[in-house]
Amino acid sequence: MRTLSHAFQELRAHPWRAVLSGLSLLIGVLAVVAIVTISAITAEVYIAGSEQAHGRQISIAGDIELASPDAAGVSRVLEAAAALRVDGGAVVLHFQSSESAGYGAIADTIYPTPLTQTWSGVHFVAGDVAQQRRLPILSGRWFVQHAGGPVEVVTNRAGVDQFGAVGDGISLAHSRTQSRAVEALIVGVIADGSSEPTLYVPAISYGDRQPSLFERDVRLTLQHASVDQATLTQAGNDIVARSGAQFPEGSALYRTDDIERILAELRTQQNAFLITAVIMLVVSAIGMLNIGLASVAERSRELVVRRALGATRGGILGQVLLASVWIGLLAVAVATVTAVLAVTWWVPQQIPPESAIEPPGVPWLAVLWGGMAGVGTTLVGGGLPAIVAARLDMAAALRD
Amino acid sequence: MSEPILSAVDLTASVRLPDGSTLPILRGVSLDIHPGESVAIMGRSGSGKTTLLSLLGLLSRPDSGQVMLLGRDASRVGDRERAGLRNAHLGFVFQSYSLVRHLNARANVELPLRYGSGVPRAVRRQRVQDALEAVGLGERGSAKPRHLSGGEQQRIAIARALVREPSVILADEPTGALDTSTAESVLTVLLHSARDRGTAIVIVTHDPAVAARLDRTVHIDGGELVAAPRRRASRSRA
Repeated sequence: MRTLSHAFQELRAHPWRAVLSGLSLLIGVLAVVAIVTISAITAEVYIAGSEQAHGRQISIAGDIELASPDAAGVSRVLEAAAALRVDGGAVVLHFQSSESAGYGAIADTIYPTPLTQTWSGVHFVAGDVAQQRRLPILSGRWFVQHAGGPVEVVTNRAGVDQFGAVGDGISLAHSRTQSRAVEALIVGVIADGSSEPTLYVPAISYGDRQPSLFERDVRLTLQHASVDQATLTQAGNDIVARSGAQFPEGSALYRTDDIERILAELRTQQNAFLITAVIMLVVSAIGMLNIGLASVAERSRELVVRRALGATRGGILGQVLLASVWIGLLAVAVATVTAVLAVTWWVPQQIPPESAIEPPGVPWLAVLWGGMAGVGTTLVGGGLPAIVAARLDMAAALRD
Repeated sequence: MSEPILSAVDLTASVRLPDGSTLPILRGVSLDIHPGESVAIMGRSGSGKTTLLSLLGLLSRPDSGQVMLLGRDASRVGDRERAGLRNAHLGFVFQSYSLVRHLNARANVELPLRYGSGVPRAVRRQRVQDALEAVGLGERGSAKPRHLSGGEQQRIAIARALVREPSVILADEPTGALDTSTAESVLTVLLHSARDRGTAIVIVTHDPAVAARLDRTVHIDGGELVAAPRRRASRSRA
């Protein structure tokens, strides 16, 4: 307690020295937190873009032929995948209509022929699209598949000008032979990473109204985060077999996400970040060491006089070291507050809303490492001066 | 005669030179300090008088011989115990005052009490005030050293040496940095305060006028005492 009090007095007596040491350490700790955070955000940018476009890890896909070209055939695939979905996996069926009609205003629903707009960019999907890919909602919500009322659809940001915004009605026809277009309601705008206008239409809801939508050929995509590719492929083959579907000749499930490749490419960059952080800490430690040794040299007479008056070697060591530790703890506290504020307030403001990048959480692990590195730096930067102080020759107190 | 409170028994000390050889500083020095007496140690520069004082003050260790404090060999005990002995029984006055710059006069005087154990804060405050008043600076407790004159700083240093009521005060040229008139008054304060408390004083000095005011003088030359300790009759010269 006495040593603590002397250490605190020392800080008050030399505020600028304390501030400079603290700044040196603060920069080091903040550098660690910032570098780890930037590294995480950089990885997140690449991963988000990839998951938005190609699906989350691990995604596999392949073309299949449904047992029957109708809603029942689709449902059988989804039911066959129930275990996978309950286990946290995702299943998506994507229809590519071979016919081509168009879309128009709601008024065209009654007199649909001809719907003059082109059909491209309309995707019929079933299953867990929003789970398999990272598709943040910019406004509104995801569609809900139900039997009554207009078909709920979502569009991407580029599609707002072409298809309409949330709350707008739209008529859809996938075939020029169908007697009536289908009334749909845009319920959400999503960020799918595409600059092409795209409309996502729930296949089963639409198919209930226009059964001629369904064709035998669909694209099946499976995703699961915690199984390996071989296991997921086996599960996919089982799902296809159980649902009565089959692979066309020459077709098979193959990997579609590229997260592993991205992470491998980022590893070198992250190692460089890590080395930079370590260098920053070493620079901080050298700064503290420099200030500490200069301080001990300047105060050598005071320190030996204190020993002459009754301070023990350990007491002097503790006094000098604790003064550094006070500074270190203060710097770590300020660095933590700064990091938390930056990550929770500043960083989210820098992320474009249409990107799939999720605002990073407070990197507590980085803060913890930064804090531990800060305390370690303090012990190194303050330890040597403390040892030097404790080993000063007391007889020097009698000589000038 | 009373038992000595502090004794040097056949002390030898040396320093190691850069070429690896050793240079003897003290050669078998023996000296007794009795309770309440004042002793001057005189000698030429480099004669070993400051080394002797640092050995007596438990600031360094002899190559051989003993330093007996209150009847026990204090030269061989560990760092913590030596620190305790210095704190409890020895007071120091240095030539260049050696006050802690960022502490005010009161806090400087309080330092030995803070390093000692078990003195309540209220008692510490009272003893600090008493010590400051004993050196005539009872009103200057809040002043930082830079706001005090050289004579005042040395009186603060004397108050710091007295506050723990040590058995012996060891002073190295306590008036060496002061002008004649200030030196006279500072020495008077030191001797009066010590004698009022029955504290022995050992002063290293070059100044015969200082030595003349003490009970006896020992001369040291080439690391050896060259004159036998000679006790002065008068203790009222202060």
